[in-house]
Amino acid sequence: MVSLRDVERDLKNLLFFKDQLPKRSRLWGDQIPERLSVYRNNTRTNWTDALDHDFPLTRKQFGESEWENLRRRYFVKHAPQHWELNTSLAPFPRFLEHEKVKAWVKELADYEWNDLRVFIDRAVVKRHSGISNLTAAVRVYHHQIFDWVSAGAPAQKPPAEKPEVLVFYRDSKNTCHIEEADPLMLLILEHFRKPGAQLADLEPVRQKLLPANRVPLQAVFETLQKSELLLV
Amino acid sequence: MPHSDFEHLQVLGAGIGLRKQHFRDLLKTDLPVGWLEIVPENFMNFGGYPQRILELVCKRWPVVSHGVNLSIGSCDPLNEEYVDRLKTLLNTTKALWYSDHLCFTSVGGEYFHDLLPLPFSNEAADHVVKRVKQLKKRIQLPFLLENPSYYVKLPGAEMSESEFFNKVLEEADCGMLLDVNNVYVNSKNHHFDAKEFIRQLPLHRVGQIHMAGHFDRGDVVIDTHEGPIIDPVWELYEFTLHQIGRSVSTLIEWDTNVPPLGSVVKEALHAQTIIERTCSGGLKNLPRQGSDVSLGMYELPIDSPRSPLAERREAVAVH
Repeated sequence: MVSLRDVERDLKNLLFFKDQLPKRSRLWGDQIPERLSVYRNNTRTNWTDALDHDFPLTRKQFGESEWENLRRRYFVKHAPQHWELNTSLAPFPRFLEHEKVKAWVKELADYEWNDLRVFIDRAVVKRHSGISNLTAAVRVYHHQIFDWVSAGAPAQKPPAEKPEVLVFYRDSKNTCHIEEADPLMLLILEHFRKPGAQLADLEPVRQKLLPANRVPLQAVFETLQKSELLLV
Repeated sequence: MPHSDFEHLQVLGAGIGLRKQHFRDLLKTDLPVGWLEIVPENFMNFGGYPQRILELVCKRWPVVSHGVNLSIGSCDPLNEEYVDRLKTLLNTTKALWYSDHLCFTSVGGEYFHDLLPLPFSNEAADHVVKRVKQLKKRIQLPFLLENPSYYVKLPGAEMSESEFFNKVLEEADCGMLLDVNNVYVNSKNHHFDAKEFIRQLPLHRVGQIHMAGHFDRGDVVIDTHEGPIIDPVWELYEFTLHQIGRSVSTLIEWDTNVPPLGSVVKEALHAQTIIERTCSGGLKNLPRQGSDVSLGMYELPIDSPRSPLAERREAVAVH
């Protein structure tokens, strides 16, 4: 008699994405029930719909069959490992790193993932909590992804090759933002990650790391406070 | 002898499932929504906007939790992180009870994100019983198991589906969430008498009922939670209430092509009418819509602008 563990493994083998559809089953031999297709379709469609949904602009960069093949290769390698489906898709930008895909498309996937990550981040954003915003994620791109996304990421008009540093974050009213970051801003954000940090302590650090920077610290500090990137 | 926890469930009348398509309308509605069922996976891993919506909802309505990825039948160990998060969510939402399906959804740490059937075997029943007992030690709240729809019969059955359910529920001493639409769907796909099946269930353990639409593909009926509930399912529902002999909290599920809130509430009102017609014991404990909470008091962040990709984010977070 087949054990429960064998039943579960057999169903996984029959339903998950595979390079080739299994022709034999431990449970049914070569008489695999036609109705298993209901489960196969549910399982696979749930996964692919989530990927389409979470990476809509990345998807636009591919032809239909090209995208389908990419999705299949992805799920063969990365079946969902989390009980929350969107969270299961975290490896997708990394997966693209090893695919023959244009550099800006890889950056776009990373951008879309971070945009989602900030929206659902479990961190609590509270004004006056005394530190930098915990949802903030800094990403460095070699292309002008922000403007390209704002224009709908047209595949026929790739983004300019010019570096940009973006910070993704969510404010206390649950509004998500993406802003261009400069070195001083990043220095301040890093400084205030530590609870109890003081602005006065930052000046010598700035003089050491950014000697040519003459922007008044207080002014940048206040701008970051206003935007809620700093919650001090 | 101590009573089982499922015997003390509040009777809530008819309620609806919380779906992201209804967030805006629900928070402003005057419709008679009695209570809500939340899918914990749509909230447990999310902060920000989804959490805020959940907070607002829980201030206004009684809430119960209905999970899809506990994977109670899986040979994997219970997912500790999942159980911890679930426990926290149940506490913060003050959920009256929680439920999941008698199925498995994960193998080797990988998730189907679909409900897979268990063989009706002694091994599977014993395995689930052991895990429900484990769970009950961790979460001190009444727990119900739902009868899922299934499209294939797995080899290795040593008993019927109803015997399997009786064995699991009696030995684990937990309640039942009876999905009447699933009984109907299964009876069509596997050619059995739905009423006879219901008679064979441990009806004294039924703490909640699910009602939903489905899709008849011709060769197979699929439990899609779409479209209006059809008359034969309503008829089976009324029969079920007669058999149970008391009012049972009933939830309208709608997950595919979700219609406007009013249409779902209309089905809930229909269920309410049937409960009142069928169960003379009535709804003594029925809580009403929370009139003491004015939503005007709360800041509603539901129309705030977000990032360039914001529109889809709302849909992602709560599906």
